[in-house]
Amino acid sequence: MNIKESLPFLFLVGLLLFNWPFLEIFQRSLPYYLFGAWFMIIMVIGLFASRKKD
Amino acid sequence: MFPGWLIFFFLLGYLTLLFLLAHYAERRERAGRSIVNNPYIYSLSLAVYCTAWTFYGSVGKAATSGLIFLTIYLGPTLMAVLWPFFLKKVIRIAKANNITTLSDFIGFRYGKSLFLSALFTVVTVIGIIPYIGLQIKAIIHTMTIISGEMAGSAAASLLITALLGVFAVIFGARRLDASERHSGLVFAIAFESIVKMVAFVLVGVFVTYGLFDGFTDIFGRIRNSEYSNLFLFGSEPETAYSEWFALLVLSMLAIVLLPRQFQVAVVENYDEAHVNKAAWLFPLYLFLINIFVLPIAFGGLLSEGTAEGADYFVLTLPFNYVQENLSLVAFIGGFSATTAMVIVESLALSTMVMNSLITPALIRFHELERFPALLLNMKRLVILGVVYLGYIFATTIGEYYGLVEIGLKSFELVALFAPAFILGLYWKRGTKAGAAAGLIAGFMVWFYTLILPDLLRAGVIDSSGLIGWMTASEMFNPRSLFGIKGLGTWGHPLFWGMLFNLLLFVGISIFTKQSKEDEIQALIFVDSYQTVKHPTRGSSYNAADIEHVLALYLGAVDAGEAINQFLSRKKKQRDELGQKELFELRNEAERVLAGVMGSSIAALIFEDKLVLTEQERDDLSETIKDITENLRLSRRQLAEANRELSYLEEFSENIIESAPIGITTVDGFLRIKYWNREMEAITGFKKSEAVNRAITHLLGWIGRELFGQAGEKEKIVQTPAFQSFKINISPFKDPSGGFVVIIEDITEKKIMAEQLLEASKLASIGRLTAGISHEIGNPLASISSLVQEIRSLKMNSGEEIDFTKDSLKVVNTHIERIVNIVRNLGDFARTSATEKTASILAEILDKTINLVRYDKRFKNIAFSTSLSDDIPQLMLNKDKMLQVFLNLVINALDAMPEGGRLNIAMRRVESAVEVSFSDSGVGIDETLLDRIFDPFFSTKTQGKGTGLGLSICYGIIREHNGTITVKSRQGEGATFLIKLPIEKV
Repeated sequence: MNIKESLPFLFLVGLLLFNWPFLEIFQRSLPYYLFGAWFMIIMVIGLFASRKKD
Repeated sequence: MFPGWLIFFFLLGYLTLLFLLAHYAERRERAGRSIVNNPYIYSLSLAVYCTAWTFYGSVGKAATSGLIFLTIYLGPTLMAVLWPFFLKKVIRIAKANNITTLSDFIGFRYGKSLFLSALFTVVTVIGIIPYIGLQIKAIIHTMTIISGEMAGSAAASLLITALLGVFAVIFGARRLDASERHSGLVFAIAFESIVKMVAFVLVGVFVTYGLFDGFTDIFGRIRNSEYSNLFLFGSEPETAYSEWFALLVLSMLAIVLLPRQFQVAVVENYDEAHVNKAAWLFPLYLFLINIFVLPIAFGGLLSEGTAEGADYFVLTLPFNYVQENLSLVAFIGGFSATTAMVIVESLALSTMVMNSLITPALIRFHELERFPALLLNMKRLVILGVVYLGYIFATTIGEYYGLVEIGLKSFELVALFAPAFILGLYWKRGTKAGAAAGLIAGFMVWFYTLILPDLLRAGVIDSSGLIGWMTASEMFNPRSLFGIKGLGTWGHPLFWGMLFNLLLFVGISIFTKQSKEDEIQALIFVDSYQTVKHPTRGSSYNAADIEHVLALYLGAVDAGEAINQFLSRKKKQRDELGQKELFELRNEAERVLAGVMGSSIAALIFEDKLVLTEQERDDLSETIKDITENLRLSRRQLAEANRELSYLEEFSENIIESAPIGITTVDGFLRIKYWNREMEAITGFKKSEAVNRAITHLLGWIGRELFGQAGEKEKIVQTPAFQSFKINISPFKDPSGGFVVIIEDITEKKIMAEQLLEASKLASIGRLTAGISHEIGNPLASISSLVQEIRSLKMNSGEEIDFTKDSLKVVNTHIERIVNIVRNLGDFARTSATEKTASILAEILDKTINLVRYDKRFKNIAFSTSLSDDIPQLMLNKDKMLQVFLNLVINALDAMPEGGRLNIAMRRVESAVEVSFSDSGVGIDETLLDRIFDPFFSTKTQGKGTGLGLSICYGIIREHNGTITVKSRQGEGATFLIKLPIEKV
């Protein structure tokens, strides 16, 4: 998967993670879930965006 | 509490520090050592997104609505995922067209429409002034809190606000060219981003670990308090999923469409490669600055017992717990957040206002001498005006709104730009009319749903008339249009505004015809990243016309400078510019003017001044259509070319592999990349052993120095195993470097050449033998008769003894003469040297004459020489050169059997030495001159010559990088001319 495919995919995954139903699933520990998912997405962007070839 | 005057001077000191930092960054930039041109400063400057809303408002929002504040930062994080190609495209288009504002970008996209640009500017000003006011409101409030003085805070805030305006003027509007980056400003903003984050984190650590026992403690206490619903996501209408989604979308769009974000992300971008790093560094910044929002909000609620004043918990919490220094740090952090936003936003707004509103209005005065200065001063005034309007808003209407509410209303408004902006990048069909209609519709929804209720509530608009009836009705209720509820406070205006906006934009675009200008711009924005314009016929303007137009708006000096820069880049004079270059110059001038006045007005000016005829417009349009068609065809051709390339690659590899010469390629570091079969045979190294090793290590006899020189190099080397190789080294044209090395094994060839030379020598000796035999024969006969005479003597008289002595002297003289002849012949016949050494040509000539002088034919020749004194030493193979001279002299003797004249001249001509051999012999038929140096060609009768003499001479002279030519006519003698280059000895 090249960067032009992987980043839109990551965008959609992020949009899903930060919306219903995931917010409802993790409602009991929402702050931890949101910050954890947020940090994970940042790391994945860093991984994809720092790849030389796009 | 800190005294008001102390706070004021403290802020003054902080602003001075910012001035110094900005000044330092600009000085470094001018010196060519930019400290701004890196992804870290770029990422930090993007954090201008975090304003007073983040620093104070997020805590307030978290204290009242829980986690929903996070949407404002999660949205930009999601958007940043797409930056590596979305933002890069925007940057490329903006830079290629010198676009400096968002409204210019949109206006330029839709047929370079000034109207559209102005429309977007007006809407932006309406939406952003309150947002600037929000920041100033935060300054006023926090100064009041920290000084404990109401009186004077507003005045001090006005002064501080004015200073922010001055800062923006100094570092943002020093020159007229808005396309110029503001390195000082960017550096100051980046510094402020660090300050605000550090301040916020310090307060967070104090609250979390100083007032409580960490996150778990605070969260546990909140769960057991009356505020436990802040964890229960979705239980309140305000935090419904639809509202969450709406805020997420709003913040995603805001990070792209806020004027200040466009300024730092696009206009101030140095290198689009920085975007890749910023795509995760900027979200990481947002993550870090938000970690302590919940602890501070919850800590405030637990400590204060109320959410009132939660917007300023960051400041009040340390203050209430007698941590005055920490509260001062928090105050500075908040001040950093506000100043950065005010400075960048006012600069961005002023550029928009100037480009889209003021410059078009003032354009009629362009003939005024001080027009450029007028524009510059106007821009400065606009910056100050924007900041002042923000102040007015903060001190009047702003008092009645919370920080987040004002900010979100601005977000709602800029979100209306999304259809025209984002679809404009990917959908070619969009039109100016569609974009304008969509924006107007969206703006009306925004005003009706978000502003009108406030105006009615405040009594600004009478609620008894038609508007009152509408807002009270179920169908047109501003909070639930058409009776639809559940979209949320911010989701409702977003949904309806976007719906009407999109419907009108797409609908009108589809049902209206695009103008030619619309088509061209759509093509440029969607299919390409830069303007492509090629004139098909002569233009009706020249360089002077273009300069004249520029000078009207920029002044003669700047206009001349812009034109000269273009000419120097093209390395051409004004009168040497062709049609294509004139067209490029026009585009460049338009871009320069766009930097000052906005792209739309610049386009209008050039349209007006350098009129394109209808025919030229049609040509341009047709050309662009052709380019698009060509691009489509090109894809097919590319696939075809790819196949052919594969075939060619295989074909070339076969040839190279089967070539009888060694071929290898090396990269810029001299590492072997290709190694053909013959190389394996020549060197004994297999391909797998050779590849990726340094050629100078593998084949030590190839000197490294040959790779350091420019151009093609050739050298003959002998290996320790006495193999001789001819090495040819050619550099690749590719900028990444590398060389092609061709190695030919010439060991056999060299041996044969040496044998041929020896044979040629022997042949020369043979040719001399007849003449020399006489020279040896005569003294021998004399010696013989003297010996006979002596033998008959009895040696008993003094006379006989004297005669014998005299005779022996004569015999000795004859013997010495013979020895001399034999030694000369012996010297000549011995094995030849192979090396070139520093040699004197005259000495070689002397040796030649010594060899031939014994030839009896030489005695009939009137021999003369003419040698210049300035002949330098040359690098020659003496033996080979002697062979050449000897061949030419013997040929001359052969040509003059009855005697004649032979002149040998030597002279220096520039960087060469000429040696001529002119005889008065029988000459050569002119028709044969072309073949005279061919092997086995001879003009002599059969058996008298091998036909190799001159051919060998030719080969030897070529080996010395020289030339040999002949001039002759039948019966008029011949002249052979040798030219040898003077090489460094």
